[in-house]
Parts: sequence; structure tokens; C-alpha cells
Amino acid sequence: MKVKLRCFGGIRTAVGSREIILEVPEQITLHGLFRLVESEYPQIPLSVYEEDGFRRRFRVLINGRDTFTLQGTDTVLVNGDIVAVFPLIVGG
Amino acid sequence: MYQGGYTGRTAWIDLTKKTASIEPTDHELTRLFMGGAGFGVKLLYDLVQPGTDPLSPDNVLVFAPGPLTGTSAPCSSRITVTGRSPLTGAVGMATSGGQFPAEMKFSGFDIIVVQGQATDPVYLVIENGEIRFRSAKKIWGANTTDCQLFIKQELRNHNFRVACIGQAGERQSLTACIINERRAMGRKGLGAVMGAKRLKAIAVRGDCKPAIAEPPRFQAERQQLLARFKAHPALYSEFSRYGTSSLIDLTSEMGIFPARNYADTGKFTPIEQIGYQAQAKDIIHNNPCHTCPVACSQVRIARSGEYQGTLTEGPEFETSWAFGGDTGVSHVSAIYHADRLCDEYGLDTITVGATIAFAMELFERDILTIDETDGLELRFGNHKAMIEMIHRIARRQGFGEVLADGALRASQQIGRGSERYVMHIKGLELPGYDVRAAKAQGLNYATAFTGGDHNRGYAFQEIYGVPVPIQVDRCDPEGKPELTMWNQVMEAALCDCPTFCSFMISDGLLRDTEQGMSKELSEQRVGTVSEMVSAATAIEFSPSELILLGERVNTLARCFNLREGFSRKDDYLPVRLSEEPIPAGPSEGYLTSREEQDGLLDQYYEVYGYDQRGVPTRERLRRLSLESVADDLEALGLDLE
Ligand code: SF4
Repeated sequence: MKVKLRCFGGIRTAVGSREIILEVPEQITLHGLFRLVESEYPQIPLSVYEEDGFRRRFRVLINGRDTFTLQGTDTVLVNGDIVAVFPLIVGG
Repeated sequence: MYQGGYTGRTAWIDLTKKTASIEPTDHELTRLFMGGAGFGVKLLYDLVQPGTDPLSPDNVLVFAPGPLTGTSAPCSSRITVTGRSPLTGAVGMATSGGQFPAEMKFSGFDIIVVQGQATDPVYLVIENGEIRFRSAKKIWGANTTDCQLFIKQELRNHNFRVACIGQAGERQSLTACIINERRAMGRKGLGAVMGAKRLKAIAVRGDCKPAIAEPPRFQAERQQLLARFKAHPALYSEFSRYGTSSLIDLTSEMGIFPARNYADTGKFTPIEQIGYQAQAKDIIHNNPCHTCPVACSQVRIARSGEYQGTLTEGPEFETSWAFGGDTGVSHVSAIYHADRLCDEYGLDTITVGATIAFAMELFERDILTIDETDGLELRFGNHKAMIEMIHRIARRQGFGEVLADGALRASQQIGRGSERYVMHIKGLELPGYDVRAAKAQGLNYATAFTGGDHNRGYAFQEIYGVPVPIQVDRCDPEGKPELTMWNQVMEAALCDCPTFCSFMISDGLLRDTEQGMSKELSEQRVGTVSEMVSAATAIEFSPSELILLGERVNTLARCFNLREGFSRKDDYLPVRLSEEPIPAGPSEGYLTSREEQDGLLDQYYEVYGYDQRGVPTRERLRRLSLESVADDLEALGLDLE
């Protein structure tokens, strides 16, 4: 199946594109996706993302929703999901 | 005698008599209301009688920075301007940064209160404790950049900082704001109040830097705050580089970037065309507010195409939304051009963009004909028509006359069912967050004392995901009344009274990147502001007093509105947001039903200590040292519990 990884801010600059379409195994969790991304895109240090309700460097949204409103990094992804990785954003 | 923070002087300007008097800044006022928004709300309540026409000589304009403004506290050059809003009839309060707020303190004053109405256009020169009137006849009609330049040249001193109105304010357009440098004291039509007073500008300059009463204590807190800024993983690396433009991308990904007058949220998300990346290439430099190390404010230039050469400071997120998402325009240079035009005419970008978006929807629905729009194809996405409409609004020309007083008044003129498409609360057009899927942000819009305003209690928990004081699900109404009160109280107590930039409060002050966040830690952070203000002024503002201050300012402002006839019925979202679900995208299906709003309001009033009409109880007012206000409300026939 395919999921889309979207990167914003400095992360996008590091990766070089806004959207990457990844071929991933069925039933992959967000945690699994992070590991996969880190092996292919080491410039996206997703392992520092913590799922204890406090987000150290990134905010991760799955289809626009904060992961803590789902099952955190255990959330199982489905075909077509959009995982967006933002730097901590300020201002408004 | 003030030992620091305050200059100790208040300027009272009577434009009718062309007199100025200088009084000591009232000690009771500083103790109970601190500065900024506190001064504004208290003086507005005391000086403006119920039913006063906002464009009459009897309305006031209170210019008030806070005790930290002009000190070395980072991000403290902020000012609030307060008067009765001609757009809403409620409290009209605008805030701005830049250099003007600090320079006003250096000119020797804590507060400038402007009353009356001049017979001929004037401007005020305030320099080192002295106040002069000068004729503004020559510059009546000038755009704001030229006006500022002219005044500096006429005064033969380029160190003056000037707040002024443009053509829109002179023509008393209710969409007019006040411009200082290229920053706006925006929304609520305060530019029209200045225009009605025939006050073109206020120029300030001076060397009266406020003292710090306890320097070591002040410096210790300041250093800690700066260290927290430095430790933040995104403040300098992201916010300083992209400013608020990254919110276009974030809110789009969340599905809450309102599109085409809130009709098409989720269907139109022009991230690639107008998002932060599209804007980043056009940044030419940063223009920080006085004492701000972050410098989020950027100057951009349109490098090619029909708007080539337009240079603008911004656009901030709200402007990009108003002239982008709301009007369905995906042409980034058109947004820069619209921003710059509004600055030059002295127009508020949110109100003007939202009013044009409203008219575009009417045009698309055939409620407006091309004859009525003077031949303009006022369709969503038509940037040329949008730009032309800005000119016509500022000049009150043709159909511009209909739109020049905001969307609500335009709908009253147009009729034909157009009222349904006005996205406003209390007459103030909504900003750029689709609150059907951001419930605390929505409750803040509904209850903010200035009307549909994001700045009086921004739900940064929902929008930026800052888990302070709690982590919340933006789509769930649970717990949002308490959170909304917390945000409104903190906005007043930590930002709008001391004064601090609210961007820094949500992140630099409150978000902690090492320890996570707890309620206790967020209370400690209230302690940071408490320490800084107490050290600067030698007046002890304890953390619990700061919280009371925030409650007092919000409650007194509500009482001003009650006195003007506002009530619970004015605390609801526009009907579209309660009846039409978000049509597409990540937040598809969400709405905020009338029942949901009823429940939220019941609880919101309860946590504030108000009755179910939204009227504070006598006991509540007594605890906030506002007892006399209870008598005022009863005299107007409102029985208090
Ligand atoms: S963060 Fe931006 S708005 Fe706030 S004080 Fe600094 S430059 Fe001004």
C-alpha cells in the first residue's frame, strides 16, 4: 500500500520535496513508518518524536489529526493516509 | 512616585479645545489594571457614556503600552488602542508592535487619551514630555508611508515614530485601521474614529527611557527568558525565517484553512501557490519590533508579473488567508499587493478581505449583479477584481461605498437573503481558522469582548499543538469552556497588559521543550511575567494577582458591552458554522451545532462566575474590585444575581 509523507518548514528543505509517496507494508504503524523513513531519509530524525503527550521537535498529524487523538505511534496506517511532519510552529 | 516601568505621566488631549494636559498616571489604575489593555478597558468604561456614537467627539482613543514596553524585556514593544468600535458598537481594541510603542514611552507617557474632535485636520507631536498640535491640512489625503515621511521631514527629525490614518480612516470607513510604520492597529474600525476626530497622526520621540526599579532581579528573569527562547527548537530556526506564513500550510493540513467565505473549507488549499515555501523566496529582510531578538516580521517583494516591484511588510498569516483562501485567490503577488495597498490606505486586511469574500459569494450566487458591482466580475479567485475593490473601498467609490463599512452593514444594505453569508460575530468579520473543527478557538471567537477576534484568547493548544496547560483534541468540545477562559485571562494578563508579544507567550514562555508541560509549570511561567513586571516597577504583581487582572479586564470589557445592549444572543457563531458541515478535507463533516454552542456557553459563563445570561454576579464583580460596575448595570435594569 502507499502512504504520503508530507514535510514542512526546515524538514522540507532538508528532504528537498514536500511530498514523498512511500510504498509500505500493510498494517504498518506510525512507529514502523518512522523507522522506515529513517533508514531511507536519515535527514528526517523522526525518532526524537515522542508519544508521551509532549512533542519535542515535531508535530505529526495523520490525515490532519494529532496522533494522540488516535492511537499515538501505534496507530495503524491504511492505504492513502497522509502523514504530515511539522516543525513546532509558532505565530498567528 | 513610580520607581520604574512607568513614566508616571498621562497625556489628556482635547481636540475640540486644542488643549493638552499632563496628569500623573493614576496609582489605583496601575495597581488594578497594570497597563495596555487594562488601561484601555478601564478608561473606556469610565469615560464613554452608554450609547455614545463611536464617531462622535465623545468617543475616546486610549493609546497604552505597558510597564515593560520600552524596557529591555524581549518582545515587549506592544501597544493597545482602545475606543468604542464603530464597526461593532462593542469594545474596540487593537494591538500593534513595531517601534512606536517603545518610542511612545520614551516620549514620556504611559497613556495618551484622545478626546473631542478637531475643526481642521491636526497631528500631535509628543516629545520628551511635551505635547504640540500641528496642522495636518497639507497631508490630509496622504497615504500612510508618505504621511509618516512627511511628518519626519516637517519635524526635521527622522527619529520620530508615527501612528497615522490613511484615506480610509479620513473617509471614516469602518474597515479602517491605524498604521504605525507598516504595522496595523487593526480591526474594529478605530481608524474611522481617528478620522472622525480629524486626527491624522501622532508622532512620538524622546529619551525618557523608563527606569528599572530592581535591575538584578529584572535581569535574572530576562536572561532566563532569553535562554528559553534559545533552547526552543523552532523559534529561531523556523519562526524567524518564515514568520507566520507556515500557518497557511499547517491549517490547510488540519483542514481548518477557511476557503471562499467559509463555504469551501477543505476544497481549496493553495499551499503550493501561497504557502510558506512560495513566500520564502520573496523575503528580503526581517524587521523586528523594538527589543525583539526573534524578528518574525518579514519584508517581501513581488519579483515578477503584474505586481512586480510591490514591497510589503508581511503578509501575516491572516492577510494571506483573507486575500488568499477567503477570496479564493492563489496568486501570491496579488496578496502582497493587497497587503501593501491596505497598509497605504489604512485598511484592515482581515475585515477588507473578508468583506470582499462575502461580496464574491453573493456574486457567485447571483444575489449581486454585475451592474451593482460597476462591471466588476467579483468572482472567487479573481485577483484583479479583488485589488480593484480595495481601491474602491478606500475611496468609497461606486460599489466600494457599499462595502466600505464591513460585511454586516453591506448585507443590511443589499438584503435579499445576503445576511446568511456574513461571517461575523458582533459585527466583526471572522479571521482565518475554521472553528467548526477547533472548538476552543470558536468559543473564543464567540465570546471575545471585541467580537470575532482571534487575538483575545488564541487557542494555541488547538492550532499549534502546544500542550499548555493541557493537551486537547481540537475537534472535541469537552473542557473547552475552561480552556477558553484560561486563554482569555492569560492573553490579557501575560500579553496585553504588561505588554508582551503574544507569539512569544505561547511558545517562548509557555512551551517547554525539555520538561513537557504541566499545569504547575504553566503557573510557574505566570511567575516569569509577575517577576519581570514587579522587578521593573517595584509594585508587586503576584501570579495570583496577574490571574485576577486577566479576569478583571475581560469581565469589565464584558460589562461595557452589556451596558451597550449586548447579551448572550451575541455570543453565537454565524449560522453557516452551526448548520453547514465543513464540506471536504481532513476536517470534513464537523460543525458546531446550536445545541453544542448552548452547552459551551452555559459552562463558559459558569466558569467565569456569570449567570446564564452572561451577566457577572454581584459577588463576582466584588471579588474583582468592580463593585461599582454592579450598580451601573442594575441602574440600566439588569438585575444581578
Ligand atoms: S515575535 Fe514578531 S511580532 Fe512578536 S515582538 Fe518579535 S518581531 Fe514583533
